[in-house]
Amino acid sequence: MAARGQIKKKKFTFINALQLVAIIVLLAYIQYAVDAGRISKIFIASPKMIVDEAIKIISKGILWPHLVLTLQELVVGYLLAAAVGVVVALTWILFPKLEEFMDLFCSAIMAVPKTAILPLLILWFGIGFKSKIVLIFLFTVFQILYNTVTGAKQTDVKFIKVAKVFKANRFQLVFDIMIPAAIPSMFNGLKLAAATALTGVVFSEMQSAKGGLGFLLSEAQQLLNSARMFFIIVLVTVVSVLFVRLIALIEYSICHRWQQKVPHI
Amino acid sequence: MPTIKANKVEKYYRSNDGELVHALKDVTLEIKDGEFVAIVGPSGCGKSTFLEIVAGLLPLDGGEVYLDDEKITDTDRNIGVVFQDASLFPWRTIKKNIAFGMEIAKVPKEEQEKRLKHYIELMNLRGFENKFPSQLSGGMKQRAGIARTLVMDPKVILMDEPFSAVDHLTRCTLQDELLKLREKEKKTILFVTHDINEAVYLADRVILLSPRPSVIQEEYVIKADYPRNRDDEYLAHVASKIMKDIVKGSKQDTIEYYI
Repeated sequence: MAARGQIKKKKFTFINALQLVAIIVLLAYIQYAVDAGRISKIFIASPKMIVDEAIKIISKGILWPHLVLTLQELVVGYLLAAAVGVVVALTWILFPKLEEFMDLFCSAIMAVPKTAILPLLILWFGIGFKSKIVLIFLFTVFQILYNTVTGAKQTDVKFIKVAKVFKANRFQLVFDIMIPAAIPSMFNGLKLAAATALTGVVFSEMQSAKGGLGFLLSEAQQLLNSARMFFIIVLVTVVSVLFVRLIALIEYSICHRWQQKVPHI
Repeated sequence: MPTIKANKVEKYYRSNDGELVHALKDVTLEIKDGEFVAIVGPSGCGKSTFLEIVAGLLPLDGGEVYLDDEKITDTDRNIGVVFQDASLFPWRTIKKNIAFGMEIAKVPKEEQEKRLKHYIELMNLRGFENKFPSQLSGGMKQRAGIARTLVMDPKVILMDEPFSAVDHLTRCTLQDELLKLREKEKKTILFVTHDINEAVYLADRVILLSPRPSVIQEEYVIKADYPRNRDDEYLAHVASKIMKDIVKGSKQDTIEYYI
């Protein structure tokens, strides 16, 4: 029995048990198939090989510098995009004429597949840290910008009527009503951006870099080290999920008191 | 001198399929200082539209509306509005919601606290100050909505179906509280409702608007002293008369109206 106000704990259902069994069976089969030589080790690594490889690159200190580099690129690029996205969104909400002017250019840059600009970025910023930051920035800034602006535009008409009745001026309308109203939508943008940011980092590291998880991944491919490839894919996935959860947690700590629906974190 | 004077108000709007709809036609109405006037009418008649015009939220297409002989062209701090579902800001606590108008008007902090204390007490909202609207029942929300309007001490209060979203018992309580409030605060009230019994129980005068284009079809002066009795035969008689007039006013065979 959950006490009032407490979030009910999820029960472990029959379906969950079946799902667990399915995963175990699949992993056990892969283990068997690889061990018995039915699948080549070059294509698929067995669970045990992946774990062994993970222990190896962690204990030998191979992984650590690459992981740190990727995280640094991710955090710096993302924070830059979040700051610029939110600030530009604010100026657009305050000065719609500015949006009218800038929208064309932002939409145009947004429409360019970011991966296509990478060669140019490398030319401009080199194969190091800077080109990665710029790529992550371009990957994520528009999601944050447009989600925030859309959220403000979708402010409930009744709230705007209340503001008018109390004779709020434009700045009061924007800061006291439209921006708080845009917060849930802004966080949607931030979460989407968090999910795509890592894609940007890993991709650019795979193309050309001196380090990072993407670099490690493409190196493993050249060495036909499938165990390492699998491990890095799992690791990148975990990092991505944790990063999105972190943003969701920040959203929860800000909005949970006034939102009816408890967001899934 | 009437507090609110609407003179030959006309309103058109474009419906979603691009048709020009004549919403209000030649609506002329005077509301005396301290009077409680209720507007009723079949659904889709322009009662809320009229209220928004008086509030200065909607422009009109003909005629004019005056507050104390001054033409209303925009919203005015002397006209408070209580909205249908309270329209509280979900991101503000109840106390901060009630303080909203004072923050906008830059009322000094001590004065704000003084008025907040008074109206939170008056509207029976003590203990709920730091709750958020999503944690409150419909009735409590509307109490906060009324308090938000009252703290600004407007001369006129416009109420747009304020009790339609609450259950019957709460509605009765809120109605009685409103009457007591009116006694204490001496406000002029324009009250839009689709509930005829509510209109008859609360108001000094009930205005019946016809279906579109809405004209003032009928006016009823309720000659009963406060406090009124809900089972009063006279009130029931007036209510059933209004009901009959609504049916008469709607010429179509299938009429949609609320009781």
